[in-house]
Amino acid sequence: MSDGGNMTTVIEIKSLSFSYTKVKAQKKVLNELSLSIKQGELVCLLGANGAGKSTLINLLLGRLAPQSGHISIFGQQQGIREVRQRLGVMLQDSTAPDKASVRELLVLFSSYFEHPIELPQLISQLNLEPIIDQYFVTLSGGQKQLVLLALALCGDPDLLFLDEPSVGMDVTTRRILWQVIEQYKSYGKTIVLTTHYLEEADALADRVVVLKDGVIVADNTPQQLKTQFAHKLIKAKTCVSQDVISKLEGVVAVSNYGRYIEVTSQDSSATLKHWLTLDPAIEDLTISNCDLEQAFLQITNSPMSQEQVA
Amino acid sequence: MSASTLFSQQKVNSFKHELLLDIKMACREPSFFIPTLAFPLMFYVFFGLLFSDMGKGQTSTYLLVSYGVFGIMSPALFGFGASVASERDKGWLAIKQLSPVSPWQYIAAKLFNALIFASVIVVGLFTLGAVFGDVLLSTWQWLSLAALLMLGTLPFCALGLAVGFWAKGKSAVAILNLIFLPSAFLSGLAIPVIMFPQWLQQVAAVFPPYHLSQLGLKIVDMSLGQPALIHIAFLVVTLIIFSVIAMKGYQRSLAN
Repeated sequence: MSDGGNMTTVIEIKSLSFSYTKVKAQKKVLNELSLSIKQGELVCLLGANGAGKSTLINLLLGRLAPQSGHISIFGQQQGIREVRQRLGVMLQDSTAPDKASVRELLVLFSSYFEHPIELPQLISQLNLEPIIDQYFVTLSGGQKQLVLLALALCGDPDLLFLDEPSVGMDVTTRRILWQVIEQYKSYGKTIVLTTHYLEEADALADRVVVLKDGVIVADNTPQQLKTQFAHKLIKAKTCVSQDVISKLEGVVAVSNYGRYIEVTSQDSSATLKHWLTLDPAIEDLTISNCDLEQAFLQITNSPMSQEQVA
Repeated sequence: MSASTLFSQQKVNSFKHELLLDIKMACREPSFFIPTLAFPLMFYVFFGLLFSDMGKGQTSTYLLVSYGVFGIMSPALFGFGASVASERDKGWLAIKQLSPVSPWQYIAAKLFNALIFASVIVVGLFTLGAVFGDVLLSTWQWLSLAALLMLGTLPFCALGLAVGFWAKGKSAVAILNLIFLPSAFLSGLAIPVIMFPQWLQQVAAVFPPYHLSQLGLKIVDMSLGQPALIHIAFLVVTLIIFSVIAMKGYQRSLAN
């Protein structure tokens, strides 16, 4: 990623800060954040609720004005019409009017752009043919999301923002979403994605950017993130208390699921050795590799991650 | 921006789609078009035709103006205000704001939509009045009354838009009803102002429908005789104030 000499920068963010109130003492939602996204990258923004994801997206879209720092998109100011001509957006919590048919919405939205995509192509790509004359209100949650995705793609955008696109999607529609995203990536389009499904980030993203408390705490490929947090996950029924286990060698995090205890460990054999001496009658033991979801939880939960940044 | 890009083929086309879809959506919403179209016509049939004095069309002429004003208020307030509020609630407005379309396009489409509904009501009322109500007016009077009612939708469109940008979907409808019915009655649209007690006549003068109906009554020589300029000034000021409020509301909606 770092040697992309011929790749142009699509999004450039320099020491961006933002807080919703102007009181100095107020905690900043975004704090001196810098990020640069190149053409053709598929970047997934992750972060717990309140981490600053939505604020960052609203700033990038020009819906909020930065209080300090600088944003440019395609080398231009964010939010201006020239930029909007090249932008496709799927917003969280945004839907279309009830009594408009899918075709009417697509025709209207295409008319907004100077160089819209061919509608028949888009319709077949997203498999909208069967619902093309239905009113928006009659569609299922997943179908609605596909229509909103189609609206985002209408203008043949160079930069696509997808904010939680797979919410409410069933397996079929999500597969279509993934295919379309892959396809757009192959055209060299830039995509910024937020999602709650870590497997989605894992499957699609070139780069995962994790936000916490308004700063970037991790920025890497999904593969490297998993390696960076190459911890094991140990799950078992035990009589040892959570407190005691959390002090064992190698333990990073402990959580309780009913009668089970789940331990994330940097050194699973050392942890287990000590655990077994405390409770030889340990039951239902499973050990698994950490997936992106667990890596993410560690990045955003452990106080360690803040020190890494500082 | 040159005139050629301002009215390029693409933009003309886009506006056509915007307006057509807006009209179609309004026609697919019975809770909007039934009360909007039927109420003024129905009230006029009851009070202007059936219960009229059977005289020389005095009542039916007076109430033609009243229900004309009443009739054009509803598409202006609800077609504009309620639909903007619901589109804002749904996030549809946000999607449009992030697209390259100019906000003037969809506001102009809604304005045309309100004018089309208003003209249907005006034509309906005029037909009822002329055919069944012994309303005898000169061509000039018919035309000026129609033109006045069309222009008169503008301040109510601004009022509807202001409410639409500031209130949430469901509460916008409630607020608009609270504005619509009381201001219509207190302006003397149902019962002539002349029958109001003195103090209530003064209250009537703070409501825009009063001033629009007085201008209309001037055309048919039935007004209270206040200067037309006062009425026009009041309506223009209403238009400006609510346009500014709507504009502020629009700017606020950009950020959330």
